[in-house]
Amino acid sequence: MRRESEPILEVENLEIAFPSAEGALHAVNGVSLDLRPGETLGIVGESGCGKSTIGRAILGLVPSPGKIVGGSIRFQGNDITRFSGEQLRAYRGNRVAMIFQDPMSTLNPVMTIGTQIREALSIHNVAKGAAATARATKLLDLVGIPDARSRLDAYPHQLSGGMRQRAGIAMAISCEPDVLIADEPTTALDVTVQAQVIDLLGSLRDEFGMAIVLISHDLGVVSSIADRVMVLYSGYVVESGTTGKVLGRRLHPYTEGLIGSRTEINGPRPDRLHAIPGAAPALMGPAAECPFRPRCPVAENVCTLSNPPLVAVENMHEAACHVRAPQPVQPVEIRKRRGAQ
Amino acid sequence: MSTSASEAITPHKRSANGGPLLEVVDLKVHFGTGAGLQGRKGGKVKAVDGLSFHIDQGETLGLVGESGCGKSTTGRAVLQLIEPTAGSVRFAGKELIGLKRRELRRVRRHMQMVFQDPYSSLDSRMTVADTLAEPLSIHGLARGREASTRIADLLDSVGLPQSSTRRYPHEFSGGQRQRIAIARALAVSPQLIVCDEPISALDVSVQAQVLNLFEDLQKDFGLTYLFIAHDLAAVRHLSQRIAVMYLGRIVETGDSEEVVARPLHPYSQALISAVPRLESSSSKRERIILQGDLPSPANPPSGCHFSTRCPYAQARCRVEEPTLTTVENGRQVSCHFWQEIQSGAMLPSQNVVGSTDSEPSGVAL
Repeated sequence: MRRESEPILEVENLEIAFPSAEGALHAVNGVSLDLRPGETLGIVGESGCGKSTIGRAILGLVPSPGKIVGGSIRFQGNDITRFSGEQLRAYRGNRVAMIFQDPMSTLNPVMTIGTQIREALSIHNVAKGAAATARATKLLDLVGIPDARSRLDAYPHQLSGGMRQRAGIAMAISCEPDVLIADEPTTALDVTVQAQVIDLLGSLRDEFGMAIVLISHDLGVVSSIADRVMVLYSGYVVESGTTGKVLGRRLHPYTEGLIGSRTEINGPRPDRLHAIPGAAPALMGPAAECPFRPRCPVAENVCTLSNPPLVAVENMHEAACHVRAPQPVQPVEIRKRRGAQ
Repeated sequence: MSTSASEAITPHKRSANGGPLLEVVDLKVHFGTGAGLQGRKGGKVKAVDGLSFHIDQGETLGLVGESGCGKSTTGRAVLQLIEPTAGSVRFAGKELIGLKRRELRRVRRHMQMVFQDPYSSLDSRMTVADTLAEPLSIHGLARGREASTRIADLLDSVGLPQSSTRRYPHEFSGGQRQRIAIARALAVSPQLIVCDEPISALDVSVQAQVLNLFEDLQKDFGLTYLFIAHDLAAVRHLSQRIAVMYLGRIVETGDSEEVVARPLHPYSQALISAVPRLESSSSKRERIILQGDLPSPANPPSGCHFSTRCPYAQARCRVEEPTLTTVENGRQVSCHFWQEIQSGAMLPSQNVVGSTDSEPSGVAL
């Protein structure tokens, strides 16, 4: 935990909506988070919960026709939602970089790995010419690609899935970003390679003091390197806190469901997995009730009356649940709190 | 659950000697890589290189390994979707290799497959009703109103609403599509279903729903599964027995709880160690992190195939190929030194074992 330093990234009350034929689809609803140098935040939730949209928004890449309709994203105190195109280009890929689930679709198939890394270095004026080549070689070496010098000349299709993801990481860290957004970086990989990539992210973070936002549908992947975890449901933060506290108390029934859905390699084998029934709804407007209520095993009458606010249940741990974390006073005040401070 | 389905499932015939439902002996699938450029001779990829296993009626065998180890090829070769190069595949006592097309089609009714990607395994221009009616009509099982009743039963079995019949695959989520694919496999009342990574494209929460569905269906219809996956935790959950594959060969097999609790082969140990667990990042655990990727099956390492990545590899391992040996009740392992590794007499080399807080590679920018 590195709570003493100033946050490098602060997202406050972020709201993102996508226009659709039936009205605006609310993908992200009042999400706040902060990140300090060297810290890792895990964002967890099912497909469509808004986790990737948040990751992209931090890069100023909200997919069209989506729009940030409220809140702010401040990087070193500057609101990037107000950045000009030029400011965004200097920021994106340089100060904040991203790695994606499928490196095959993010790497250019007709450019060698080396050319792509050198391009990133030259665009951001980090290095040019022979210096760029030397640095690109070092980067490939750093991410554990054997025989780095000759792999510079390889095209993406000539590398295995794991090696491609390493090349994607090399490109993302080429300008030594302060924040690295990793959106399901290991989902397409074998477990053995997944372990390698997660380890690599951890050691790069420790070496360069980067902050990482790790986005995944699997709490198990996130828990091994994240200091803090944020559980997202229908664009709302439903639980957030240090990894130990969230995993230890599993306060929100949705967090509990995500954990119960996992098959474990250790411990006793359950007869049946505690799957969460149904699927997450698409929210067309602000939730009038708890969005998880239709799938919730502990829902009560109160859950239909309003959407529960995020309430601090202990230091560095908050949850939004009428049943498990009833709000004491003035929920409006608490709602504005930033993620797990 | 529909009675018609459970009646239809009655096995047409068990093996005459009461043996396993599926018995695979020394299965080999070799692919020619074709003639190379400039007339160079093409090589051979030994995707499956001498595999033997059996599955009893009502049992689930989990086949695990990394991408490229030949596990999917094995599944396809069992169903004769790929022609095996050598070996024997006996289903209910009947040899499948060399069967004529028509005979094969008759047997296939009893053996179905569920694929990894429900986005590409369903025909996007067919409604759910058409998708489910097709196997019924191909095998002459039901038509017209009878087919409609059967389709309604199938949708019930896999937990889809009756209103699904007139809808197209794109209207469903990934989990729902996988349910459609499972219903299609069930339509012909098979005995054996080969599941090829059926949950790896799904969210964790949906994976649990589908795993539970597989279990329910097995109970209700007495199904036998060959469950192919790279995720050992999911395989352990569903399977009674596990076979671990590496580069076309089985390196360890046995009761799933025993293999997971006490893996004998260093590769099984590494696979188990790599499975993400729910643990706070502050609690560090010693993990075996395999270096590099699976070697190319076109040019496998000499001796033990795993020797290039094995933390215990000795000179002997690079020359002499170990054989799959029965070591205890139903447990087989293919490693020269499994006893020494198990007893602790042999220690892993340092550069292969790392903890979760392992130091970076030490190259500074």
